[in-house]
Amino acid sequence: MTKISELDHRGRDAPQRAPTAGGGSAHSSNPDLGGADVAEVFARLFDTHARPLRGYLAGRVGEHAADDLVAETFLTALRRRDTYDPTQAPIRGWLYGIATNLVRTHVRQEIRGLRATAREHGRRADESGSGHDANVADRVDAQRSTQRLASALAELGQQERDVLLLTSWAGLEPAEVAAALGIPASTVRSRLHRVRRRLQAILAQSPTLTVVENER
Amino acid sequence: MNDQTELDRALDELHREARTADAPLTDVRATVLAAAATSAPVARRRRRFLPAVAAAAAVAAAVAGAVVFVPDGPAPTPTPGASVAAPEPTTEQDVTLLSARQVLNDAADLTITAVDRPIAPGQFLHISEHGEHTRSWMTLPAVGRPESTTTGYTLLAGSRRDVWIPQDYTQEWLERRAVIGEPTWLGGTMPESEAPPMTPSDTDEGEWRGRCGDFFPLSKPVKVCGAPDDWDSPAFYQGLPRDAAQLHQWLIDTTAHRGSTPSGMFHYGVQVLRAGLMPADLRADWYRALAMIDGVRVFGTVTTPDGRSGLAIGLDEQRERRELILDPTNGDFIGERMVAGPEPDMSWIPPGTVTSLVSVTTTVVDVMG
Repeated sequence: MTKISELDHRGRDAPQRAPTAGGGSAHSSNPDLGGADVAEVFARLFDTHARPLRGYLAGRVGEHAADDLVAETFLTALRRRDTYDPTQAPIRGWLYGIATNLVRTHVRQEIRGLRATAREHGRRADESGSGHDANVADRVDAQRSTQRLASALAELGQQERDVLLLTSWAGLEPAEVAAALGIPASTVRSRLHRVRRRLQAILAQSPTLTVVENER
Repeated sequence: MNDQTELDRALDELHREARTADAPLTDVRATVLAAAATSAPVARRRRRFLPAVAAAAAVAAAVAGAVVFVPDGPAPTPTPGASVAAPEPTTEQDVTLLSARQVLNDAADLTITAVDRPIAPGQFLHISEHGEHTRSWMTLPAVGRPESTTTGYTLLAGSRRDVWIPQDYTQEWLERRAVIGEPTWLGGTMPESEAPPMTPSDTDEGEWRGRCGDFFPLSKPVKVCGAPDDWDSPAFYQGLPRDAAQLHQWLIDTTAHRGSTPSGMFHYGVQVLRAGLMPADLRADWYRALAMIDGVRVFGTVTTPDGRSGLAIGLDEQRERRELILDPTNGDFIGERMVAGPEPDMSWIPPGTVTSLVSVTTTVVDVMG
């Protein structure tokens, strides 16, 4: 049995404070961020979530901005920790919600990045030619798929992109995506289904039908 | 190739290099933890004490429903509020059948004509909370030993928190916290006589001073005086719409990071009311916005620690529900109550147990402290 600190249950304070070192990992997905041991709780939070969070952010806004957004995500979480209710949702959805809100302040950067990716992969596919070598053909197909996907993602609505990438890149469950975006889980599922179907149709198109729009 | 696989593969390939880069996060970690290391007291500022039932402290000044800061100069003449007849007394059984939406809308109607009591230069706004809250001690199962069980106990402890805010809110504020009386035993996995001792934390009692309510100036992030998202600042209220539907949407947006759940929105709405600074011209629309939240209902009549009677309104919750207490005769927010739900956070607390009850009063006084 591992003793944890005394719990100060004021108002909406967490029912079970995040365990201190060595104990209570079963509750670490819903830590109490408001305890006196805030540095320890945030150290644990950072060590658990910062790396995958950086990957998610780097995928969306690029590596250059990712570190700043990771820092800003955790500093925002620290600043707003009294608004996190561990009885309502796991911490991951809440953290990614903060991060995704920050991404929205970089939306032009994200879209520029996606369009640049589309152009780059289109160029590579063009340069690879259309030879009969199977390896070359597979490589060209892959380049075209990435080109079409990047182009399509740039044209998606913000929330559709959020739903898709929180699920695919961040690995969040629909309930966590719902918590992150503030929409019902059923809406997450239906949007995810819809956007995936649309993207699948785009990927199935003939490469000649793919249009990469110019950067606005 | 299967479309599903094709899409997932393409998603996996897209920006893969950036997403999987093994960049060091050492500096970022140090930044975050440095901020965390100096920020502990700030968390308590809003996760404040639920104030003390037993200490029905006398409040010398007249209780004002809401008070707003006014600029230096001659005090404006308050507009008399509408005279409202008290409704017929109702029984506990009756009130639970009331529509919470109707109660909130009625409270809005009552408060719509209210005006803020002006604070003259040299006067102070005094926000007083007192009541009881739970304090728990517990152990969790050890890692790798799932057979071990959670043990612990919970006390109901009285406390008081007083804040004095000068007319010019950018000047020095005063906050006092005190533990009131002896805690009482609510339950535990062990007999009370065998419970390990539990002592108040260093923020349970004491006195703090700070300009603009910044009682912990070394904390990070730095408290920005007049920040639009700080409900301790008049700027927060000035920036809110005076329209119930817009406020409802604002609650949805503001709690989006927590899923905009009805309970999350209601929780936030009560938390802001409890800060004691909401101006009169906003309160009616705030109540109407709360009335739009799905699931609100009346849970009964409650007598607050300072002896006022009101209707408790909240939403059903599995673990613990939060209720705001409204005085139905004048629409005043007079406190809040927390009640254990069917599946309480602490298994040893019986469902339905009142886990906190707090009075909130806002007055204008001539002396700080």
